[in-house]
Amino acid sequence: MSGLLLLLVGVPLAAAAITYYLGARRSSLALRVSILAAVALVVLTMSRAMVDVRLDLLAERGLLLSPVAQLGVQLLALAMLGLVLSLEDEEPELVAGWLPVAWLSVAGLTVALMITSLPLAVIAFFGAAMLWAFGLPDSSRRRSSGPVMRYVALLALAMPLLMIAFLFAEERTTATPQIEWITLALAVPAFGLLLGVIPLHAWTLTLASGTPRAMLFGVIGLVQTAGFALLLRALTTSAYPWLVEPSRGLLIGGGAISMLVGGWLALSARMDDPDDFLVLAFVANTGLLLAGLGAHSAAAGAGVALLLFARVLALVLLAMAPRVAGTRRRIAYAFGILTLAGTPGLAGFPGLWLIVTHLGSGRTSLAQVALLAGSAMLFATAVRRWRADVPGDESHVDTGPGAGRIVLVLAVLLVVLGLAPQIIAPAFTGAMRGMYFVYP
Amino acid sequence: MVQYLAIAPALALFAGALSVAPLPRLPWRPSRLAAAGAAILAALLSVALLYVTWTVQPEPVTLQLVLSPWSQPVFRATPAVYVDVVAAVCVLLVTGAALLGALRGLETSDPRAMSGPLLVGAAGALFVAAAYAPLGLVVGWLALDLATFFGARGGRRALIVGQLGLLLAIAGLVGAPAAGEALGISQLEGSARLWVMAAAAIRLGLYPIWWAVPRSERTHLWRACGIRLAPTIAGLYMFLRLAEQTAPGEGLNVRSLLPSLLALFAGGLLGWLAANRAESLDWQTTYSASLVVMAASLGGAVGRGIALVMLIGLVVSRGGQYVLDGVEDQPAVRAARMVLAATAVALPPTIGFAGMWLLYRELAAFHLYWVLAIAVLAASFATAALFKSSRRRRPATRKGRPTVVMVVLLAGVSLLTGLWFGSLDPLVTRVASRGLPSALEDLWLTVSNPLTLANGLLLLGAIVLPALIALGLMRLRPRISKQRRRALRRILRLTLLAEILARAFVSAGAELQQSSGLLESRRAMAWTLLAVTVTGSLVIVAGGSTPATRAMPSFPAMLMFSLAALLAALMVLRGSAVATLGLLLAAYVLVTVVLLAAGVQPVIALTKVLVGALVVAILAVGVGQTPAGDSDGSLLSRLQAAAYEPRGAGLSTLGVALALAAGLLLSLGVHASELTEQLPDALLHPALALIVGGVLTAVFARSPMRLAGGVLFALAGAELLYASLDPGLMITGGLAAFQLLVAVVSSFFIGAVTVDQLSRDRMGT
Repeated sequence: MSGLLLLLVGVPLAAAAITYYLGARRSSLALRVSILAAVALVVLTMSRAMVDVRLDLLAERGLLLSPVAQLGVQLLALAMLGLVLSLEDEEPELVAGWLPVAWLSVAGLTVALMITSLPLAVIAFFGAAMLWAFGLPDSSRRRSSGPVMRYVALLALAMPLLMIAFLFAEERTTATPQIEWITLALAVPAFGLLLGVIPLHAWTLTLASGTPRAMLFGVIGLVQTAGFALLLRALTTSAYPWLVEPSRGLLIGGGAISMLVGGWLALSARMDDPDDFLVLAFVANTGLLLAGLGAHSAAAGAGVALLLFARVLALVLLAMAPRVAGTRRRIAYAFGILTLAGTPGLAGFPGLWLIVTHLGSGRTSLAQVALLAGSAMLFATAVRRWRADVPGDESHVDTGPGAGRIVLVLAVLLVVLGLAPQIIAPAFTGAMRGMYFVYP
Repeated sequence: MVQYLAIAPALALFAGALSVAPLPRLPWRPSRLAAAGAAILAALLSVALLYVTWTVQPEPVTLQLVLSPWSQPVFRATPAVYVDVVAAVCVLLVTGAALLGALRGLETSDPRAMSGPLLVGAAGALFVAAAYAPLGLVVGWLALDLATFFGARGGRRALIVGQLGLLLAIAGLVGAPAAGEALGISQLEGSARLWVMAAAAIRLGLYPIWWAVPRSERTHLWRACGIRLAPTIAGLYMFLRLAEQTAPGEGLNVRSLLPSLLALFAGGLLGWLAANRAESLDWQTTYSASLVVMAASLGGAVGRGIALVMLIGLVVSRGGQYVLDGVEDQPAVRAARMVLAATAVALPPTIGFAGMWLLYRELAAFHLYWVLAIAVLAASFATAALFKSSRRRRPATRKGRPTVVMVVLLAGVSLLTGLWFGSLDPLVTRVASRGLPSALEDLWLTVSNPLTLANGLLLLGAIVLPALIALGLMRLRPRISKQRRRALRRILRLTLLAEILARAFVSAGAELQQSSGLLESRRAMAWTLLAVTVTGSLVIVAGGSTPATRAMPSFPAMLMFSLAALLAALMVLRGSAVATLGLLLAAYVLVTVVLLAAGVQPVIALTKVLVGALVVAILAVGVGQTPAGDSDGSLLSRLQAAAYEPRGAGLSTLGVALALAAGLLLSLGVHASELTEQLPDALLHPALALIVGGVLTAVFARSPMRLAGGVLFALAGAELLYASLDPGLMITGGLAAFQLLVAVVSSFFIGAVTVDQLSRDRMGT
């Protein structure tokens, strides 16, 4: 069974190699191969038999598929499947540049989620995230050099923070409790930067303004999703039980601020910009997820997982939006934003409900109000944008029924999951087991 | 199976709406009769529902039906409907209002116009059935919002305000103790109850946040039976529920009464100022609803009982007035219209009088005469509005036999229940847990007793006086010009104010984004790094860190720090490509020397200098690949192009030097009091100096070359910290690979700036 773990890394690597070999001339075949690989990865990660299987490597380090890692890889595979679907009919040059980089990044992120050493996981994660700099087509490399270099620079500068935080955490003993706060002082901004939490979110906006949407969505869909899984992993690692309590207030407070301000900025984003409001909506949604992690409750943890799943679906829907026209484009944008907002009736709501009902009472009630206010502002954003034509590249509009059908299927899926989350909730409850070991 | 009766009225109304839905490509033709039949069926099912919840003994029956079984281990609550007698009565009122609209709709030329009221009625019935349980309330609210938006063309404002109300309700539900449990809204207390009350006010369109319920159309006023009355009943049902746990007189304070008083007064005044009959009737409905809210606010069984009586009066009077619009004036219609008007202004012997008398009596009993005075003033405006709207009826176009039968029945109900209040007593007793005295009997007893005569006359005056004042107000109205009335309406409706506030809110956000340079600006980098520093510092402060006493750093430590600070200063202040590459290499050499001096394994220490050499070489390759353009293509011109920095923006050299000095001083001040063994000063201070220099270089850089140089300079400094905390070969290798990757990525982009740009800049073009 441990050999299957290698497949989780091998499939993306093989897909990267094949898509690189096929190149721009056979980009449609590369897309099909990618769809096949993504489906294979989804199927592989569904196997319950693989959970907690370990494969030893060098120096007492190895690969371990913990429930959180399984959830993370599952979400990565789903996001990859959706993003690949959204690339159909894109320029061959973009597809040929994007696919190998994306698959290589998925391989790196998968290793980051499974490798037993957290410092090595951090290196693998940041390395995989940085690979996206190579995902640009030659035509847009010069125009995008500034935003991409800043993205790379911030990632590179965040890496030491997280590395040193984990190395400090190893040194913490009962005699040196003060190290907890130094660790948090390094880890909080690092994770905040990675996940794009306010006020550390500016790089996502810069990336949105200067790079193709495929790259932006790749980073948000894959790197940030893996970032969440990494954070979940840090909180579940039994080596740092002391980390859980001090992080509670930081996660809830930071999450609430991010949701509130992110919602406000999304609402007031320029109407002529096609990406800013989307990025800010994801920033707000990230705040909601962080607050859920701070709740320290198994139910809220399941809510976070549900919301992460809904976030991936919303991301795919939003990625598909420019490829359809008219009402379907509006539906795609509206449903995507409303899902991120946690609006009742859509897939984001069960997660929002679990999170806000388990934040507790007292001082956290202010956080509950902030989260709901942020959700209201994202709702207003969707309504405000409904009538406005979201600018997009009309040359990529798919005239056939394919993209339109995918949009409708995704929209229906979001509604079904919003009304009947019991369809998928049990799967996520399993993934979260053992997460809040301090708080049964 | 009987539990399905709880949603059967809603489903029947929904089927009726579907039968006349204005949708393209429907497989059937719109049928008025089918819609009306469905509405009749819904009403009959509501009666059956009331019967089932009422008659089964010994305990009152609560029908429960799970709408979607959310999994139990995770979700402690699930969307479900809970229907008892109170809910059944309100479902009956909703379906009754929808039936009124459907029967009136039989006379319209376009059957599709019937779908809106039926759809909103269906959603209203579902709302009432589901609103008791938290997730049921959410589902019902959502259904009503969607029905209002699609079925009644509520518009974006209605949708946004409706969702705001829903989020207020959720804020109340999740803030309650045992949040998420299957508690009913009547069990909420404290602030949770206030949140849900605010939500209920929004649901029923109460002033000042009245936009959730769409305004009536002048040409199809009858549609308001479903579109306006269903949400109004839904909101009032919530108030009835919220009043269940309150003690008698609990709500008799300024805080509880003020919202309903404000809505009462504004409803009456706006009805008087209204530009047309539809608008006037809508505001009069708001006025009547405010009275019900005030009654519910009284608390206790009496308050609930009065609220129920007034709610029935509201549906009877306003429903009748809405459907009578455009119906031919006949003797029966004239009589019914008068009775309904008397019900609306609470004249005896109607049900309107019964409710109003009992309400005023309670207010007087608690000596709330100021509330009574405001109520009388508001009633005067509302009565004047009714007089005015009765005069400006639309020309009659329909005989409206079914409508006539319905309104005559409504008038009969009003008179019958007013005259024989005992007929309502079982219902009131079941809903409110105690009966109420007959208003007419009470009036007689009060005025026939000399001890209570004054009080009786006062109350009677409070009810009759508004009609007299209204006559004066009717004469006053024409003296206010149309323009002034319009201006007053605009101010009072608050729509303009809300729009200004909303625009200001959006503009403030846009301004923040533009002025802070967060969008598409290089300042984003500086802001982000500043935010990282501030966030980290705040965490330290939150942890209550205390400064540790420490000795002066040793001479070797100071020497290493000085060297690192010198390199950092040169890196920040010297902008050329050659200097950047040279200083970067020097930093790696210094790292190796410091590590060797600190006793780290030579293989680990020497790896650093090897990595440094490779990094510099990769960057140099990037420089070599810079496109030559029209220049001579020499190495010098390529180096200049690689480190090319546009003119203009950025701090002055003095500013950069000051930032550097502050950063270096801070790095010298930091001391790892609890990790002295792992992080001696000889390692920590040079590391921080290099990190400060690298970060500042990156912040002020304007070319990929300088940015990459700064980042790698900082990473070299961080190497000192890793190597002392975990000097393992695997980590060292991983970090080396990471730095090489950074260099490769940077090299990939360094050539993005061509030498042509440099040439143009030199020429000043």
